[in-house]
Amino acid sequence: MSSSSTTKVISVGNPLCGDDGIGPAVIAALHNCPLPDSVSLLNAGIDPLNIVDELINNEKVILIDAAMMKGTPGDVHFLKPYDLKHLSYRSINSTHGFGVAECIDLAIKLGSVSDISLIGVQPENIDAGNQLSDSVSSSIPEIIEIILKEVNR
Amino acid sequence: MSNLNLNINVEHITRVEGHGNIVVNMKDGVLEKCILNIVEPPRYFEAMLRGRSWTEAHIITSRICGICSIGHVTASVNATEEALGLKLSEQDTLLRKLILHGETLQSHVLHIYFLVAPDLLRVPSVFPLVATHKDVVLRALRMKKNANYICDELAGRTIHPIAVVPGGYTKLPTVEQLKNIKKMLVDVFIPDAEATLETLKALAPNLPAFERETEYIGLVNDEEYAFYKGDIASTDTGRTSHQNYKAMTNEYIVPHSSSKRCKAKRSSLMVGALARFNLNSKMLHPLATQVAEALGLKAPCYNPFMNNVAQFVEAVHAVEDSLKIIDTLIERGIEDKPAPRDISFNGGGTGVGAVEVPRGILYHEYTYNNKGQITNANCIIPTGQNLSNIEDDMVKLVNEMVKAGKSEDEITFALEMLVRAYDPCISCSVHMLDVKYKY
Repeated sequence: MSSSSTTKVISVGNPLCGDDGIGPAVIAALHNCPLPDSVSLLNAGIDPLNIVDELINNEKVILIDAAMMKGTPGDVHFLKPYDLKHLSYRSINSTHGFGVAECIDLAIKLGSVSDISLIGVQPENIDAGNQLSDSVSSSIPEIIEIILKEVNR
Repeated sequence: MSNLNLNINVEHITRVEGHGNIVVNMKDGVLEKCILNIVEPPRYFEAMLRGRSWTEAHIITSRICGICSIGHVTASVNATEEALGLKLSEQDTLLRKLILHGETLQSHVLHIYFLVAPDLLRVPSVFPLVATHKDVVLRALRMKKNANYICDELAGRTIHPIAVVPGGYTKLPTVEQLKNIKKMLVDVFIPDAEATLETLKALAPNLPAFERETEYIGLVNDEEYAFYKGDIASTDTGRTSHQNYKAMTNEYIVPHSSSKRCKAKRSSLMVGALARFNLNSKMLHPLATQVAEALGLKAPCYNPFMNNVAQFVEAVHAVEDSLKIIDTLIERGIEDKPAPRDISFNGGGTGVGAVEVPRGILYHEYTYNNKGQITNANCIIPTGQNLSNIEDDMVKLVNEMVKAGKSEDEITFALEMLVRAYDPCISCSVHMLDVKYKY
């Protein structure tokens, strides 16, 4: 475990599946934002299982993913792990059935010491294609504002 | 027993990649239906490749799968290189083998720990194991992460590699990176593999003692346990060139599957770790040989459930072989020569890439025109080759279990476990263009 304060901002999602690419798009935008040295960015792609250890050992972890929340496309929700059970969250693209919610659950059961948050974005369209819909794309400034507030908290 | 009825319908088998259903109907002791119903929609990748440039094929086919994308890229660049006469240096060939080992480790570790171990401990998933076997779950995650690290460093990404291109690489690793991978393998991965051996020794007795001999097909060559290249070998008919792959697959369709099936000498064939082990076991490195002995795996082995043990034996072999390759590369130094960009197409041509990926032989065949564009493509995926074999196993397993007086629940559990033993990648296997359902 790292002794210094660490915050990891991690995206999950497939940019080839329309709005499922919102996470990677936010990470790309964050590369142009001033961030404290303790913050690092990671695009975890489509296999959330790869990030379980990140969810265990960092001080703070902020995940960004498209999430089916029965809301209006582009809706942004700032969630904590205990919210996931109530929102019937399901990750859109996961390999071998390990979704983001399952991986957060696994990390917590393994004794996570991280302060985990998830920014869920309601997608409009997750069909094949490398474009975000306007409704989801226009939510990027709001998401970045939430992240900057959270990393500086 | 003659009045026994079974009505098993497992919709969407869990812990496999993609969607498949098990359907078994027995009426008055007579097995009427025993099928693996593949319900994924078609993928159309071969059609997508038509008209595409030689520089794009591997990028497109990488997306066939999120687990074995390195395998698809390797088969793709091999096909393109053979079609267009591109030669790889020895250094670049060694790196291809090393990257492929990284994927074998990623995939086998994931399958053994996360998809199969819950069956052997009779729990529904890896989650209940956190309470009872926390150290094992942490070890599994560490092994997966370290396997990912190899792919990240050498291929540029954990999955969907970007460094591997026809004729070479966009970026070569440094000697320093290779030294770091070696250090991780020696200091962390091997001790974790030793601990895994102890775990598997405890779990292997829970594998069903079921046997059905079939035709085992895998790549072989005279130098090594073949993963990267070789002739196609069958335990029934011997060796043939990789270019004769159609004679070893003979694709056909069945009404209940959106994936094509394959057969060669018999009604079905098996590819994957167990098939490779049966054909290549004498070529295993020393530690892998010891591991096979310790776990009771001996060629020829006709128990499909032992495929999972063979996967672990292969993982150990992959580590040993990786260390050997890394030592050679470190000793020689890395010659940083970029892959060719402008090549002459010489009227085009046809090439076949045959690569052993985690689930068996993967074939890509492309025909290029004189502009370096694909005019025809064919991809035959390991899971498609195994599907008929799984069904033949299912029939024998159901009949044996019914005869032994096992309950419907026990039979259902054994059937799911059997399907998982093959580590099927159903979404990969589905690429049929024209399916006409009979009913």
